[in-house]
Parts: sequence; structure tokens; C-alpha cells
Amino acid sequence: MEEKKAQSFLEKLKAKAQAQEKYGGPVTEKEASIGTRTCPNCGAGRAKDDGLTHCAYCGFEFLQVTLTDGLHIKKEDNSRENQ
Amino acid sequence: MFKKFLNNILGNDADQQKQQEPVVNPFQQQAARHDNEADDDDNDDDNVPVQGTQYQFDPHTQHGTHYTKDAFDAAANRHYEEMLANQDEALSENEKRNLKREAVTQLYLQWNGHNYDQLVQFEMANSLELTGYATQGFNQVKEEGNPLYEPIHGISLYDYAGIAHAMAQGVPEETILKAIGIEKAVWEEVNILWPERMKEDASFGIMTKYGEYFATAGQHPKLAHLKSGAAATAEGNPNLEQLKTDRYFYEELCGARTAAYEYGLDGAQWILENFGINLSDFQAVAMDWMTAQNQQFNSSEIQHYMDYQLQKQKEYSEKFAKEQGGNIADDIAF
Amino acid sequence: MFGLFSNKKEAGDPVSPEWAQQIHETQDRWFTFLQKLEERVEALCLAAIPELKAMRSSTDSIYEANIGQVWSGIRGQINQVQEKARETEEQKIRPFYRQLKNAGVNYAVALQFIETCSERYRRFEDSCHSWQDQLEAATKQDHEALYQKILEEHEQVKNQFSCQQCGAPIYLEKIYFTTSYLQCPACRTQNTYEPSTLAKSLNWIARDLAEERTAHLLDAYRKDAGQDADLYRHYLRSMFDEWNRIVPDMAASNEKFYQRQLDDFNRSV
Repeated sequence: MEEKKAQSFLEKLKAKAQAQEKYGGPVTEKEASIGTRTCPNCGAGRAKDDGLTHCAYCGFEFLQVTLTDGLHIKKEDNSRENQ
Repeated sequence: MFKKFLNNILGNDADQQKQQEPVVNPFQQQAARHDNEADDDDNDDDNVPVQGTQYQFDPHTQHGTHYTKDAFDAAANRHYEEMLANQDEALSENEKRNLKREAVTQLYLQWNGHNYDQLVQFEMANSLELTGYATQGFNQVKEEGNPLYEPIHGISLYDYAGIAHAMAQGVPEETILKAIGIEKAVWEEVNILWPERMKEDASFGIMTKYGEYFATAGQHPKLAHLKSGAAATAEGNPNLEQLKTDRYFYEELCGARTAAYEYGLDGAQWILENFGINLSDFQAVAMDWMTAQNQQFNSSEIQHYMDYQLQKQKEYSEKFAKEQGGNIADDIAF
Repeated sequence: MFGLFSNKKEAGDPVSPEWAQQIHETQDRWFTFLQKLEERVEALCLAAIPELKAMRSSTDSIYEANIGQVWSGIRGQINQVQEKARETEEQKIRPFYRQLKNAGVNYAVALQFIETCSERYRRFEDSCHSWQDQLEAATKQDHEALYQKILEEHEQVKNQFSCQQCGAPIYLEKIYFTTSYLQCPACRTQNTYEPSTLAKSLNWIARDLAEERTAHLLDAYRKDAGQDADLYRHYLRSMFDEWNRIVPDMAASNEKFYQRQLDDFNRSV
């Protein structure tokens, strides 16, 4: 009797959790992926050697910030316009 | 990642709490302790002014204006040296700091008429010096010239709070990053490295400042215009306005949210569904109430609101219990 | 406090049969009441623990919100039961004890009553805490298993990507847990690599994993009743070494945190 009660309580609890939408929406898990971004202004590709912040050809601003030393991104990754 | 992020903001994630090693507000406990002491005070300082005497206090230092800070510091030091000389065993640094705090406390009460709420306010205003921890609402953090507050990839702590606020409002990440002018690769480093700075900072100054910024993050110039996705917008929601101005309503919703979690609901979602207030706006308002409470410390008022919240939590618990067909032990009686 | 024991009542005015019976009955009811509550909590937890474990293992997802909600709902029920016990103690047991004292019933007997009831109450509380711990353990993510999954995934994908510009292979020389700019070794084009949700969780679990792997060192310190500060320092260093091994990219940052933890500890001894 006691067990049945507990089990039905649990089922209701599970159903309730299932039914309620989650704050921020459902979590979607993604696979790893790779991509590139070309300059939206002049269509040129981005080479890491030219720095990450600006387009080496037309000066378009990819990043509106000055990069500091982070995990993989380093100060040296600022394009010359930024330095 | 988003869940984790929300939890960081809510502070309800065990792992994150562990990482940040948050301190319980030491002052509230302090106040309670003093209240008890006051009952059996055997009056060893009869020559001090009686409680209730009206003193004026400097709004910045919270020292009484009837003496100078230098005089107080000198007297507190003498008192501390005496106390230190009476110790039998060698003290650790922490124990010395506690002893110093005790000396300052005793003297402050003597000089300022045994006003315990005023003492708490004094301790909060000077917490960095007394305990090593910063307190929200007292402007103790100096960002300028402190390398811990240097922007990370150009993102300042204020920007960081702004981004966090917008994300918890439900604005899509892409939209936010575009408005700030950074790409995902930059953001994901920033989002790891700001919390790392917080961990490095033993004074909890960054977290304190972050909290202060979060309260005003809705007005971030680059982000304020963004519309949230799922979450209701701030403007024109009378519930949100009431949350900001009506402390009882705020306490009620805090109690309701806790009760919702206790009954297996997503509390943040429940508040959104029933009151149209998103978590981000809710937490920003919470920061404002906390700051106001710190700045105008009144232990009986705090107790009053705590009791009210508890009572509301109980009422909502009963409602939720009813909806699920009761609690597991309703039929067991003494 | 100590003066109480010199009270002449301690030696024992005899307790009237009426009082004796009431004491006996109240204590009995309290014991039965708590036992019933314990049984109810036990029944719920015995059903919930395998369910939570099943929910955890049935899903591949890293963030499973429903488990959290179900767990929270069960914790809530235990809280309700504890609250019920607390209220009953406050409304039935304490007042009865005060009544005994006011009526001048033999102090030792009254004290015996309240101590027996309190001791039973403590056992009830302990039992609730123990269930809460077991629920937590059932809900907990298996960090070692998750870590293995991350390693396996890395093995699978590390040779799988190529430059979006020229098609040359881009090899992942380590586990990235943030979106990163990777340069094509052939044409220098900068590609943006975004790790899977699974790989991104590496940084979140690294500390837990390191702590679990060095828990025996912390135990050694605690077993020593915290007497030997060097045991703690040894634990802390080993834990951070392990942490750095799991996420070498975080080592510089971790070292600053280590220094802070060490300073905090040194100030306390």
C-alpha cells in the first residue's frame, strides 16, 4: 500500500516536470562543427595572420573590442588597426 | 551551457557555489548575536551614553560625527593590543583579525550608544578593512588601477553583467553578441575568464561589483534596446513595476518561487508564466532590495520581511500541495 | 544551570501516577508519530532512488532538467515532513515539558522526558539527512563516465575536420571546450571551430573530477582531525595538479586560484 502510494506520487511528479516548459527553453545539444566567416564588406577570406579584429583588405571591423591575453586568443590577434 | 549560466546568476548551483566559496552575510548573524547579548548585558561600561541618544553618522564611514576617525582608530588599536596581550596561545592571522574586529566592535558600541543596527551598518561600510570581504551597496570597490578589473577581450565587468542580464532575459545569444560587437569565440573565453577572476579575488569585490552592475544592467547602452525572446518584456508589465516598489509583493514572489521548486516545478518559469516577470529582471530587482536593505540596516524590519516571506511560502506550498493531491504525510497525526 | 542539580526535587519527589501516565503516553505518541513519518519518507525514497538513477542513466544529455525538478520535488516532501515534526515538537512536546516543570513534577523525571524525546527527534532528523544524501548520490552525474565520453568523442572527431576554404585537413591537437579560431595549416584561412555541447562541459566538470580523484587525500587530513596542516596542503596541491591535467588550458588561471586557496588556508592556521 505504502509503496504504491509512493510510486504514484513519483509518477505524478515526473509527469509534472515533463509537462512544464523549461525556463530559457529546451536545451539543445549540438555536435562539433567548423566554419569560416568572410568579410561581409568586401568578401575577402580571413587569415589568422592578419589579426582577428579587422578585415586585412578593407578594414571592416569583425570585432569591436581590443583583445587581451585569454585562453587561446592573445593580444597578438588584434589586427594592426587595433594596435 | 545556458542552464549553468542561469544557475550562476541564481546562485543555486552547488558546484558554482563551491567554486566561488560564497560567504554567508556575516553581519546578519552578528546582529542576531548582539541582540541576545543585549539581554544579559551585565553593564560593564556604565559611563557610556544610554541607548537612544541621537548621534549623527558620517554617511561614508558610518562613524559618529562626535569624534574623529583618527581618535577612534587609535583607541581601537590600544584596546586590541590589550586584548592581544591577554591571549594565552599564539593566534592565527584569522584569529587576530577576529580579535581586532571584536575590539573595534566593543569600542564602537561604547562610543555610539549601543545601537546594534548602526553597528551592523558600520561593519558593512568598513567590511573590507574589518573582515577582508566587500559588501554590496557601500562603494568599497575601486576598479581603477586594479588589474583584476581590467576588461577581458575588451569586455568590462559592466558589459559582462549586461550580457548576463540580457541572456537570462531570453534574448538570443547571437543578437546580444552582435550588439556588443564580438564573436562567439571571444564570448566563450570571456564567459570563462570573468568567473576565473572572481575566484582569484579573495575579497569578493568583483562579485559584489558584479551584483551592483547587474541591478542596472537593463540600461546597458548597447543592450537596452534588445527585445527578449520567450521572456516578457520589461516595459509595461505592472507586476514588474510592483515588484520594484512593493517590498511585500517582492517577498511574496520569492516565497512563491521557493515553494514552486519544492513542489517539483521550475520556479523561474512558473514566475514567468504567472506574473510575466523573467528571471533576469527579478534578480536585478532583488539586487536593488538587498542594496537598500544594507544601506538602511534595520534588523527588526529584516526579520519582519523574512517572516512575511516564510508565511507566503507556506501559503503557496499549500496551494501546490493541493494541486498535487496533498503531501506524503498529511494523514499522519500526533 | 548547574544550580539546577542541587534542587531538592532532583533527589525525587515521587511522581503522581496521573503524571507518570501522561509522560508515558506523550512520549509513546511522539515515538510512534516520528516512526510513521520516517516510514513514509523511507517509502518515498526507496521508490525514488532507483527512479532517479534510471532517469540519469537513460539519458545521454548532459543537462537534464527533469531530474532536477523531480529531485527537488522529493526534497520538498522531505522538508514538509521535517516541518511537520518541528511544528509538532514545538506545539506538543515543548509545552508539555513546560507544564511538567510548572506543575513541579520531579525535575529529573521531566528532564529525562525531554531528553528522551529530543534524542528521538535527533534520530529522526539524522534519518532525513541520510535520505537526502542518498537522493543526492542517486542524482549525481558520473563525472568519470562523462569524462570518458568526452575523451572518446575527441578520438572520433579530431581528424574529421577540414578547412572550409581549401579543404586541407585541420587536426584538433587537444580538446577544445570553447569555440576557437583555428588556422588552416595549408592556406592560413582562419576557421572557427565550435566544440560539441559534450566537449564544452569539460571545463565545468574538471574540478569535480579532480576533487573526486583526490578525495582520499582530503580524508587523510580530516581523519587526522585537521591537526596536520601539511596534509591539507598536500591535498590542495595534488587536487590542482589533477585539475590542471584534465584542463591544461586552465592551468595559468587555476594557479592563481590555488594561491588564493592556499593563502586562505594559511591564514587560518
